[in-house]
Amino acid sequence: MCRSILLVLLLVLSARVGQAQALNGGGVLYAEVGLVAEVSGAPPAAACNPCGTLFPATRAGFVSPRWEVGAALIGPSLGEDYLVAGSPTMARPTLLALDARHRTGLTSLGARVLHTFAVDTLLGGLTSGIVLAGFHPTSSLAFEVGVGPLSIESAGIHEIGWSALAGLRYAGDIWSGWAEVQGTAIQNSHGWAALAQISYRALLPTISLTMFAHGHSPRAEGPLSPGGPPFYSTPTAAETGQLGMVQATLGAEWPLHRGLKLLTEAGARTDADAAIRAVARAGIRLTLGPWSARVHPPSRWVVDGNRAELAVAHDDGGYLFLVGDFNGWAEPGVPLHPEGHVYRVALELPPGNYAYKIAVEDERGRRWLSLPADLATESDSFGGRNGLLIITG
Amino acid sequence: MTSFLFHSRLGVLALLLMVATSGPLAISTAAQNVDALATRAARAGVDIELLQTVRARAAEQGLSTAEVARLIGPAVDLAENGLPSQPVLQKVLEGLSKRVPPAQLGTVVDRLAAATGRAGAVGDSWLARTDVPRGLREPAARFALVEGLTHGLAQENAGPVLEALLERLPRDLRRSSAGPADVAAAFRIAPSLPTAAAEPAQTARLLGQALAAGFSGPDLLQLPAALQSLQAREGLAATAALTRALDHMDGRGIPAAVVLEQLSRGGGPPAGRPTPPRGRP
Repeated sequence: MCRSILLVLLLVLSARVGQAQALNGGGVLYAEVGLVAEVSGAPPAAACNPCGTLFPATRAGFVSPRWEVGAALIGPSLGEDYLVAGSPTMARPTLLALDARHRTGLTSLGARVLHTFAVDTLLGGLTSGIVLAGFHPTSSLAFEVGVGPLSIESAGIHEIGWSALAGLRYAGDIWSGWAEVQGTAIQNSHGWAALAQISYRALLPTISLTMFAHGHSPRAEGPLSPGGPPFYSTPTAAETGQLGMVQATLGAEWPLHRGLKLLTEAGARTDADAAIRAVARAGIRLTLGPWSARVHPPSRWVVDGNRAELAVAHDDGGYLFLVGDFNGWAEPGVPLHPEGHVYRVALELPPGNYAYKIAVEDERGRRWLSLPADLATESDSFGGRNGLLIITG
Repeated sequence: MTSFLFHSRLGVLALLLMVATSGPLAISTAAQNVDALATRAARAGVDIELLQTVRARAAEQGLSTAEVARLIGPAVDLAENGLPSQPVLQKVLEGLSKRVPPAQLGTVVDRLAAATGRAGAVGDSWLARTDVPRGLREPAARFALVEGLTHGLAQENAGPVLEALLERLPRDLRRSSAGPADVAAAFRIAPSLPTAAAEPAQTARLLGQALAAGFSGPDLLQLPAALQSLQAREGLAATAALTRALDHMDGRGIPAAVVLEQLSRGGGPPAGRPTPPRGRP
């Protein structure tokens, strides 16, 4: 029975609560609830134990329950962000992150605490550390590097070690869609892990093609410290089945009604035992809110010589692009890099006065964003208003 | 009767022939017009790369060659008269990006070209004044100033505030290191200030004092939002906010960033005024 295709229907209630709260009062609160049904092939034979271990093996092997809890606290100026967020991934079914950053320009230095409940002990446990993150606007590349202590508890053994990570992310407009390529390497005191994700989203509906790869080395044998208790043994066959995974899925999000989306995803995955399994998910997600009062940090241009950096608050999602005299009003424009509810972009321009607009692309299509009152605007003679940027060199 | 029928058929035939040939002929003429305009543009010093971008973008959106000629013609005319053509060409690109119908875009382009002509006349007359700093009379500076004036004049209710600004700026610029780009920025944003229509003279005074106090173009850009913030925070009328802003900027040498911060966020004594010592009478 274990070898045959096993259909597992799992209903998972997912909930997400987010809050963006300005320190000087007001804020934005929203909540999301989702229901996801997953159909998948049979778990690896080694992990398929009719005596009752099916569920743990299933969790580790091929079912990814989704839930998210998120909150964001935005400081009184654009220089400070405090973020509490959760993110569901295939390899890290549950993850909590506490992230506090101080930003200088497009570079931020912060402290991060992660707690994962993943079966995978390499990524599981508590990790904290100092993370340096930055963004290079011309190439649309973002990076982060970090280091910190790691606490892992597995099979009743608690160990303290260290962890370091380095990640690189590209996000940009390709063929009228939005492409993201992301890679993260993690080295810790017990081994290594690598995560890679490629996704592409077009509009109406939002289509995403996601490839996810995850693997790590076998755990070290023997005690972690001289005289200490024995550390992890050589992995068992069942554990070996969890050591690597590659998954490719094609997904789509269909807006049904305001705040209500239909989520679909289908694809295949393979684990370290080389067996290929089909995976499909469908669900709905309802976004409630946002409930105001909205108080945003001010949107502004910071001009230094020929360099101009724009930070603009926007909490309705979508992808933002800057278009204007500086690029001959060419579409789609220069993408703004989202960081929480603040989107950023930097330009190097010769001295001059530049009219501009910000376009937003989401499931409703492409449209012009009303510029925040903090930004200088002028009539565009077509019945709307343009933003105005002045570079004096 | 037969003769009438014959002549009628001849007339219909001639009409059909005219209809059949007039389309391609018109297109061909328009295409020649666009090419001729491009040749004139190159001679007049128009940014050819920008012009080609306009042509390509218009073609992508299915505009006819006649419509293209209609849109770029005013820019070429301006360049031939020694005036900046870039604002018009940029406006065409902006209109195409915003999917503005060609007829409406043509009207806006005509208005902008007329504003450029007026800005050229006003600017040249102003630059001829003996009290205007000599550095502003350089050809590149003149272009920047005319562009700034053009955009200013294209705004609503711009006349009185720009007139007042032109009148008082030579006095303020005497004690200022402001360059042409900063002055052009003042021309461009003057009509956007909330008091421009009601208090043109005081608004011009604010901009003049800001330039004298060392505000750069990017600093000036923050003035409208700072004034609005001051109004909203302290419940002031626009004029009162303007007076307060003038008080902050009254030649005390306070950096622009500090003044803008105080206008936007409030707190602390007005700029340049020493805090009274505590614990003393």
